[in-house]
Amino acid sequence: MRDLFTSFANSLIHSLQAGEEISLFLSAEESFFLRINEAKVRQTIRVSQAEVTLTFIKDKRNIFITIPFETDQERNLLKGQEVITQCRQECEQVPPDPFCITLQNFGDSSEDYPGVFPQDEEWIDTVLPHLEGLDCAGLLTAGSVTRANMNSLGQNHWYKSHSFFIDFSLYTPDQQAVKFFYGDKNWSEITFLEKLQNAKSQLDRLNFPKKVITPGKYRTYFAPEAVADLLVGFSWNGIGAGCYHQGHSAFKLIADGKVNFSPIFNLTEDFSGGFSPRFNSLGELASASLPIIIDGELKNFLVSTKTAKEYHLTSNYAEQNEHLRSPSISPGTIRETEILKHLDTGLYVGNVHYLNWSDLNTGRLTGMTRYACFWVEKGEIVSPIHDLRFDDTIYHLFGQGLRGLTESAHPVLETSTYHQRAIGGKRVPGILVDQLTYTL
Amino acid sequence: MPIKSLNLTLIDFVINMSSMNIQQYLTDLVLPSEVEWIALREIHETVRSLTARNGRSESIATQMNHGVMVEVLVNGQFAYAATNTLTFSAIQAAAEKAVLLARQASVYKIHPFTKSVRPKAVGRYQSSFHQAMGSVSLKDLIDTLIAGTNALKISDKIVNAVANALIFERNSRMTSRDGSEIEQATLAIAVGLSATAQDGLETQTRTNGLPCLQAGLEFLDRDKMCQEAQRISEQVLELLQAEECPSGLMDLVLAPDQVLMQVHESIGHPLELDRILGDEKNYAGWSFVQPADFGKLVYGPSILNVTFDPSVPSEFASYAFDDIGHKARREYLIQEGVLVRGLGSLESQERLKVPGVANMRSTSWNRPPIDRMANINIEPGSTSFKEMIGQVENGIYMETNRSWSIDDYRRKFQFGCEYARRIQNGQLTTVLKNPNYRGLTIPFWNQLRAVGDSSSLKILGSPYCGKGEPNQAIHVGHAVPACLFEKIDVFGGGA
Repeated sequence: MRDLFTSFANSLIHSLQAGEEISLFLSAEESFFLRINEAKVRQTIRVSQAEVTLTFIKDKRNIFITIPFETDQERNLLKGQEVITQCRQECEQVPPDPFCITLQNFGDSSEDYPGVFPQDEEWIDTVLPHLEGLDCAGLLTAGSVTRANMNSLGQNHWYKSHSFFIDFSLYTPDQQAVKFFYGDKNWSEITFLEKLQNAKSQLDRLNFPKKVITPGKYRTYFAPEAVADLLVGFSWNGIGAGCYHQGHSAFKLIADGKVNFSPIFNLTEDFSGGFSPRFNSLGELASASLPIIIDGELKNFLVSTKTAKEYHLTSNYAEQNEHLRSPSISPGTIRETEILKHLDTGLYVGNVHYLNWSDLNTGRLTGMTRYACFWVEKGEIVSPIHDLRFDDTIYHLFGQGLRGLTESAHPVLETSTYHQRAIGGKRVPGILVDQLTYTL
Repeated sequence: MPIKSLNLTLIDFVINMSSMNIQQYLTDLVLPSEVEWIALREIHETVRSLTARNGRSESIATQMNHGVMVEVLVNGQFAYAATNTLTFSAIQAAAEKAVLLARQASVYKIHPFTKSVRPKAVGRYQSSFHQAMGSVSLKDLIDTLIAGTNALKISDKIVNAVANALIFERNSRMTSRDGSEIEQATLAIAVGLSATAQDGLETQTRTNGLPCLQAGLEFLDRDKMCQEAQRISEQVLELLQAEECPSGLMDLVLAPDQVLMQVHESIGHPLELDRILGDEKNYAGWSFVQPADFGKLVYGPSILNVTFDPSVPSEFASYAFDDIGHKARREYLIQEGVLVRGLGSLESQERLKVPGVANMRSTSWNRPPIDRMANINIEPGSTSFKEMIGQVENGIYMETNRSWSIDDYRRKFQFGCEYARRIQNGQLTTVLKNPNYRGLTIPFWNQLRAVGDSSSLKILGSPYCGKGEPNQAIHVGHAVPACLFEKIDVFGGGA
């Protein structure tokens, strides 16, 4: 694929006329998906796909065209040349954009993360026998994902990762659930079985009648998986500079200096974990580490080059959508073995579901509890709970209500598979929040 | 020199150069005798996304997607393999992989399927439109959108004005070795307008709710866009000065562009049979609906009638056949308030033994079909909008969804809207900002007191219904009138 893309890109670059620039972004994958329900196979799918997005620039005009990229180079080149022609024609019809992207040469980079794991159909006999007798549903995903960029200024970046994840949930007879997740580059049956045994043990905790919690304010511990979901709010109407300047950010209060988060809250865009390449779809190379919130104060927005031009800012080479790609929340001091003791009396929330902003002006976020969530009294789990709706501000969650973070941050891998397998991940601790508002 | 239109040259070229005959490919595939059924599904989709912002062209993007899914049935197990390399050898390799997967997976199959869930079907579907792609130049389309943003910018307080068009061209072809041959072509469009106004720390956004239809470029009409922009920009400035929505139990009138979301989340999704079967319980979630509820559950009062209807001309998710060849037709899901039918394909119907519909759909060539909404509509009632407002002594009227959240069983929901007005003594009065409401699905629908007549009905939809593992976002349509609900928990913004 690398040779195919390189020769394709070079061919198109060589065909450019004076005053034309082009960037080519490859997104490719070889993926196996195994979908299960009741610990049986519901669907199994193999997908081989690749596409190239061309960013064509001429006379302060940008045209973006994405085309399928095949393993047949002759067909790719025919399509590619036709796309260049189309871009030229479209450039003639649109007015100039004062904030038109201009390309830069960020040099070369190459990352290749090999992995060793079962291939496609081998997964079925590897995993399914261990699920016998369990009520289990979810998705196993495995294979390679590639991202690459070349441009007409000579830049060349390549990222390829082989990985898998098993994203299952296990159920008790009365349909209470715990999450089971195992994702890595190298398969270990021992690790898989340990994690499965751990999930089975958690199921036992759910074998108590569910407690109905009335709406009110409760001290709450959010496990790392729940914190990872809360962090999605930092991208969606979040800390993108464009979002802020265009009036869609829930972070206006902190950006305008009206309020801060807790001094124990630190958020960094940190690429050291290798979850995601540092280069974005234009091949621009972000810093290895970018402080976002330090000691509770907003230090940086995510700024794309286009936003930087429009609002006279300095780009930190965020992706066009200015979403976090590899966020990391610094851990705190709560020992994992003492979470329940620190929670004392309140709610242990394992996962959350269906988050959305309920009031952008005040940064109010609503969502549901999901999976293994418990009522805790005096440091002891009393019972699982019926799902609850919370509705409170990020300034409470990560600000005045934040009482502590666990002493280790856990990797939570990106599992989205809309259109294609996403890459990226987060590193997050659990958090303890006082007086969180539950409404339904 | 005449300006060249946004022509179909590129699309035509790509289709022609890859004009493989999938029927011939299917015939030529070498397969083991254990294959009980095989089909190829070719999908070619082009999405043009044109955006103008603050009086200038912001983005001109085209996404082309073209590939083939091979689907096989071996030993009672379906399996899928997809490729976007459109050569015979690539499709032969995909077919061999699908057979291997089906054979291996059949040891652990959830249900022993037969060919009965892949009925033989032959037919075509073409959505209707007046102005095809290519009939309007790119320059004219961009100029229209720029004019829209200029019309939105009626005040310096409007800090962001956006107009965009999403134009979807989709051609699908399904051919099976037992004689199915289905071709379906749609041209669909969504047109968005958005104005954001700011005054100090107060920010408000008003949109047109992104109306979408199966239609041609006639849907992007400059005069209509500018009229709509005028309304939106005036309302967003009203919102800057508006009172906060009050809290309390009140009567609630929802405009069609919020009824859309209410129907989608609290009727459409919970009636999906694959959710009831648990296929979705690890991702999108489950349903409170039980198999025994069909024919019995009182979902709402007798004025509530909900249909699955992929035959409505111009509605966003209309089609003639689903992706397994099941012929689509209108069916009641809720009739006179009683749940009568689920949103489940032939596969789900066989597994769950409850009645369903033709709704096994995939988002594209690279995903397998699953149970989806198509057009889920509320049949109009007999109350005019004026009569509906006239029935309310003290209540709130809300327009246009801006926030949505519901639990994984589809019971506890909370929605927020962009714009609201107080209803006092049967009259619309003060403008209110940050309106929200919450409730529980079945009690909420049973508090339905009036359904708008056909004069308030709007044909709406969404391009972004997400579901499935691997994930799939698909088009849905909702033709819905305004509705009145009694004693709903309403509240405003603020910490």
